[in-house]
Formats: sequence, structure tokens, C-alpha cells
Amino acid sequence: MENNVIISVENVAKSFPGVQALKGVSFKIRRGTTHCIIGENGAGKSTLMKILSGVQTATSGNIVVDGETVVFHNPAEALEFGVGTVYQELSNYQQLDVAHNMYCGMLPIKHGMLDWKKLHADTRKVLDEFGLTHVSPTDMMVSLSLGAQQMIEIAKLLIREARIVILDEPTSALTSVEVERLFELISTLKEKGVTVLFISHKLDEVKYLADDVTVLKDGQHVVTVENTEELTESQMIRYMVGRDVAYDYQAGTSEAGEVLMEVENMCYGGKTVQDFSFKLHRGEVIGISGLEGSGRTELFECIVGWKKKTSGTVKMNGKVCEIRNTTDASRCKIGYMTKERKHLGLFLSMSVQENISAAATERLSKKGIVQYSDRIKNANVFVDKMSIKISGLAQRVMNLSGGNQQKVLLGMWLSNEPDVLLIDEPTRGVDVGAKREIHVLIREAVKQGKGVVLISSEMPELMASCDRILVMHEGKLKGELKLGEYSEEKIMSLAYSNMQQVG
Amino acid sequence: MQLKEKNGIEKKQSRMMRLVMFAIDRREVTLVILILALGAFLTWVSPNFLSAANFSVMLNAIGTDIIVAVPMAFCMIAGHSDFSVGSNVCLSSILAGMAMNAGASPIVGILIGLACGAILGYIMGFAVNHKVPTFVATLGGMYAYRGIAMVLCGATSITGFERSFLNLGRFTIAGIRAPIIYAAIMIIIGHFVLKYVNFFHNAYYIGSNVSSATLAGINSKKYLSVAFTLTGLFCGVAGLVLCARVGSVSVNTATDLHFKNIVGLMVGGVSNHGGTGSLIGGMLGILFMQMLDNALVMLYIDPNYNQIFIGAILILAVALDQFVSDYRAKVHT
Repeated sequence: MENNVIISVENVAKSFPGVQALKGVSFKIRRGTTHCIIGENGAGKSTLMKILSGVQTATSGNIVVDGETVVFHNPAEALEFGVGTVYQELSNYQQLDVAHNMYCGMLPIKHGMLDWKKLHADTRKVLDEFGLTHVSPTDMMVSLSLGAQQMIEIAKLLIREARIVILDEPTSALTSVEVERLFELISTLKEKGVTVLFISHKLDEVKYLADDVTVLKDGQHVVTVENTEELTESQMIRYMVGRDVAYDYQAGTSEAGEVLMEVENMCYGGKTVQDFSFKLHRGEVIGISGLEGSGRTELFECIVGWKKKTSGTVKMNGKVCEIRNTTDASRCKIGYMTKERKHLGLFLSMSVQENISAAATERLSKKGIVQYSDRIKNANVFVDKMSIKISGLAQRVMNLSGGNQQKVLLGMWLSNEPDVLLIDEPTRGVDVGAKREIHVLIREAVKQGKGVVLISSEMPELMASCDRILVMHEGKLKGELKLGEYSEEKIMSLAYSNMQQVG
Repeated sequence: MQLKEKNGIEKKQSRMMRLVMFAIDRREVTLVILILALGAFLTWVSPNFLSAANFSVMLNAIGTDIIVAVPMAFCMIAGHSDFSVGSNVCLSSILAGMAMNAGASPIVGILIGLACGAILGYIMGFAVNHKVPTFVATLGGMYAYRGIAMVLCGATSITGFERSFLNLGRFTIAGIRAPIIYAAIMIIIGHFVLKYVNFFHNAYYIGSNVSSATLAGINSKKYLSVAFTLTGLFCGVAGLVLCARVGSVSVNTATDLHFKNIVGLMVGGVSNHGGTGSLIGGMLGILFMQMLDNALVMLYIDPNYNQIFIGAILILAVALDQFVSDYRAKVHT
């Protein structure tokens, strides 16, 4: 039996500042099987894969490969041991040709010179083996479809004798034909005795492909089961959810007033966002739930003009707002707090005061002249309200912890006193205490007649803070849940678009 | 034992780093000290240094540089270094000079010079706002503008201006020469505007993180357009003042202005990545570089060595800034 196990994950834990991503996960992966790992956003799947592939190292616990305890410090070490990964975002050399990508770091050499003939012949052979007969070794990587690129990445791993191939959500960007070909490839890999670790959000794919399924939740291992007849998609959903909701962020404690913002028929980029409409009332917090890649972030980006919408209108107080860029959005009193606070939010090298003032520079100046005393007063208000831990207003934001940075960012947006605030992942990488302070402040703003729309991957957070939840699936509005009807099963069924009733 | 030793070394390093970081953070203070030290040294070497005449010559020379350096700092703090300024100064003053020689009145000549400068600057801003990397756009401007000047003017210099025009660059108030007065006004207004006028103060946000600034509702494209146009306009001003002071203009006017100013501003703490630096620091940096230049003359060092110094100091100043910011990022993660 033991000989059957190729990887044994033993009590692996990983913590980041403020967050414990994995809390002692243990399970076994059988040799030569296709093993799928599923779980909600933030369940710890990606972290686990990063530890297996050497991108990150575990805080504690062991990874045992073929009976040997290993610690990979980087992906190259992992590959030497036979563990190769194809990442969700492909990391190949876009401007080089297929042959160079495939044999990168191991180009054939003859008499001290690059052996072009052998390079192209070898590449041709591998391409044919993978059924990529239409691809030439001299094609530029960038000119190929994503599916072909992905297969080349897999081929690249097999040339380097990988025995274990990790695929991190490989199908998310593929067309259905490409997905089929990928699945064919996976079954041939299995015939060759390669073990495939497959992470996916798409339960039908999991059902189709997997020999074994492991479910993670909140950084913990729920179950590892064989993919038998009894394992239905709803059973998988049931494994993924069903936790105690321990939060209360005052959902439903403020009164909804008149309609504040109407978004009508928002469309973006073909299928990314499709005909999405909703109304936001004063005094309301709406949540938008959906899987990553369901178009929820793009919806926000289109509303504020950060991305160029294909069509659709935004009305504020019944009047159409022409929003072409973020300056227009700011004029219409719509704020947008992104989930990437470091790149699209804060000014890391600047002070706390300057950051909190950033979105409200006009409000904090008189006749175009900066009022430093107003800026300091305003910054102090938010520092006190959210108990932001700083050494002084002059401290650089890059030196703050993630939670405090997030509070500064929220302070920055509330300083501008927008009517509508769109928040993508309000508490990403933030500990429980800070989460509470952030949500209390959001609710306080709403009680003053503002409206807030939240995106969160954490369902307990959404259920505890929102007065209504809209569920998005592949760019479309799949359903709406009112306060009191919430359950993780319902949201998940809609988000996975699993129409059969669960539980 | 070994660990302890290692810790000891680390402690010593960090104390030195703290001193370096203090010097970088309080750039203005550091520069004033350096300037005074260099001045003391030069006085010791050559008593001539302290003479009013030498000072007057030295400051006169940087007067026109500073007229351009102030709006350049506005661009650099927003993250954009303009290489086209020297050529702009040259082309706009040549156009103004040609117009006046063709019979236009000084007023009309001045207006032509200013308009030309502003338009040339606007073109740079337009290119930058349409995704041309600033380095490429302004380097292209530097070549093209100088090229137009060469086509228009050839190898001759333009001279023979009216007295009333020449006075613009030659008047004195209480013994202080015109370029110095212009420069002083520019610095005072520039400092106020950058620190207190909201529109221009936003330069720091744009330079620190242009995406965050745009999301926060700051119109960064508008800012860049205005800042580049202003830089161009003041290139026109500097060109006219220079032309009036010297009494002539040729294609060799202001050939290395962009470089001298960028080096001076960087030494003064205005990073080419944007987001940091004060106008006063930048001006002290330019003054320091000019004194170094002056020192080489006083020490009878071949002027050809000058370029070696400027180049080396530029690289050192940037390397030091980069080192300190990397160090900061490392220490706090």
C-alpha cells in the first residue's frame, strides 16, 4: 500500500503575516493517478500547490515524495525531483520560439556551438507526440493559442522527466475544443505513469477526470475520496461549505432608502461581463459573489471607467452619468477600492497622511490651495476610528502591516465622501480584529446614506455584512439572495451554476 | 560564536546605513553642508572664490538653467525626465531672433519665442500621454528640435537685436543681474506652487504610483500635458533671457542643458522615478553641481575632465538612491 503513495502531505502549515493559509493539512496522493484538489477561493489550494512546487516553503510539516522527506526552495529544485508545475498564468518566454521555450536551459550543444538541427528535430518529435502537428519549432510562442502554449509547457516538464505534473486551473482560459485536447493529453500522461495533480473550480471537469478528489476548506483538509458514483457535484459542494458562521458585521441594521445608483446592461469584452444590471439603494450594502474569473472585478472596473465597457449605462440618483475615466467616476461620487492595494491603491513610498488625503485632494484644499491642517485633521479622524497602528502620520505606508495598509486605503476612499463605494475584497490578507473594524466603518458610512457594493471570496464575510447578495457566474447575474435566505450552499450552487437543489 | 560575530557586523552596518539614510532623507541639509564645505575648500585654495565677481559669474550662468529646471522638476516628480529642453531653448530663441531680425518688434519676437516653446513642450506631453515612453519621446524631441534649428539657422549666429530687447537679460537691481533675479522668482513661485497648489502637488501622487493616482480620481494625463507645456514655455523664457544676455543665438545654444539640469535635480533628491524630492533640494543640487564646475576651473583642471565628473556623479547619485530604497524595502519586509 505504502508503495502506492507517491506524495504524502503531512501536517503542512503555512502562515503569512496576519493570515494562516494552511492549518496542518495531511493527505496522500496515489502513484499514477489524476488527483483533483477543490475548495472555495482562499481555501488554501494555491498555497499548497506553491509549497509542492517550491515557490514557497511550508512553515511546518513535511512533504514526502517517494518515501523521502523533501523541502523545495525553488521550482528548479522541485523539478529536479520530478515535480513540475504549469501555472495558471503561463510563465514562458513569449518572444522566443517554441524550440527555445521547450529546451530552455538544456539546448543541445555540438562542438561548443548550438546544434540547431538537433534542436529543431527534437522539438518536432515532441510536438508530434503531443499532437501539435500544426505547430512549427520556429513559431513564436506569442503567436500560439493559449491551449497550445499550455501543452508545450507540459511537454517541457516531461522532457525534464517530471513524474508529477501540477496543473493549476489549466482550463480557465481555454476553449472547449482545447479543453478536450488537454484531457486527452492528461489520459496519455496517466498511461505513461505520470501522476497529475489538478486544481479546478469546475466540478464537472473534476468529476470527469479525477481518480481521487481532495477537498480543502479554510486551510484545512476536509476529505480525500475516490471518485466513485456516489461522489456527486452537490456532494462536493457540501464538502466545500458547511462551516459555522462566527461573524456579525451588522447586516441589515440600516434602512434602505431611495435608489442611489443603477447599473444597466453592463457588458465588457465579449463574455467577461454580460448584460449585468442592478440597483443600489441608499443605506445598503450589496455583496457580489462569484468564483474568481466570473467577471466581478471587471464589472467594477467598467463602472468606474478603469476598463472601457462595451456597452451599458450607470445612473446616479436617476441621472445618467457619462463615465469615461476614473476622474469622471470621482466627479459622479463613485469610488473604487481595488483588491490590489499595493499596485492599484496605495502610494507605498508616501506617508500615511498623504495616502489618506489622496482621493480627496480637492475636498481638502481651498480654492486650489492645499490645506495641510485639514489633511492632518482628516487623517487623524480615520486613524482614530479604525485604530490604525502607526508611529505617526509621516510614517511611510510601505512599512505598515497588510491590515493597517488596508485601513489606510479605506480611509483614503471614505475621505472623499463618495456616494457609492465599490470595494473589491475589503479584507484580503487582514486579521479578524481588523476585519471587524473595517466592516463597522463601512456600515457607519452606509448609515449616513451612502451605498456600498462589496466583492468578497469569503462567503461568511459576505453573509455577515451584506443586505443583499448577487451571485455572478461567467459574467451573468445568476441570482439574488435576500438577507435571511443566505446559505453557503445556495450561493455556491449559483456560483458554480449547479442548478439542482442542494441540501 | 560565529552568530554573534555576524550580528556584530550587522549592527555596525546598520548604524552606517542609518547615517546614510539620514543624509539621503535630509537632502537639503546634506547639500547645504556639502556646498559650505566645498566653498570653504575653494576659498582656501583660491581667495578669488569669495569675490563678488566670481559669484556673480557663477550664479549668472545657472540663472537661465534654473528657469528651465523649476518646471522640469514638476515633470520629474511626476516621473518624467524631459531631455528635449536644451533643443527647445535653442529653437524657440532662434525663431524669436529670426522674427526680430526680419523686422518684428521685440514684443512680437518675445511672444513668438514663448509660443514656440510652449508648443514644443506640448508636443512632448502629447506623445507621453499617447504611450510613447518619455525617454524615447523627449530624446526624439531633443534631436528633431535641434535639427530644425540647424536647418533654419545653419552655421551662422543671429545677432543685432534692439537695445530694449537686450536689456531684458542685462538689467541689474541693486547690483544683482537679471538672470539671477528671474531664477529667484522662479524658485519662490515654484516652491509655493508645488507645495500648496493642489493641482501641482498631485505630481507626487502621480510620480509615486500613476495607477493608484488615476484610480483616486487624479487626472494624470491632464497634469502631464500641463507640466510638459509649462516646461516648454519656460524653455522659451530661458531662451529669450539667454539670447538677450549673450546678445546672440546659434545652433550651439544650450546643448547640454537637459543633462546638467537632470543631474543637478537628481543629486538634489528629485528622483527620476518620481514621487520624491523638493524644489529647494533640486535647486541646491544644481547649485552644487555648478560649484563643482567652478571648482574645476579654479583648480586649473582641463575643462574636458568636467564631463567625466558630471557623468560619474550622476551614476553615483542614482546608485546611492537605488541602494537606499532597496535597503528600505528589505529592512521592512
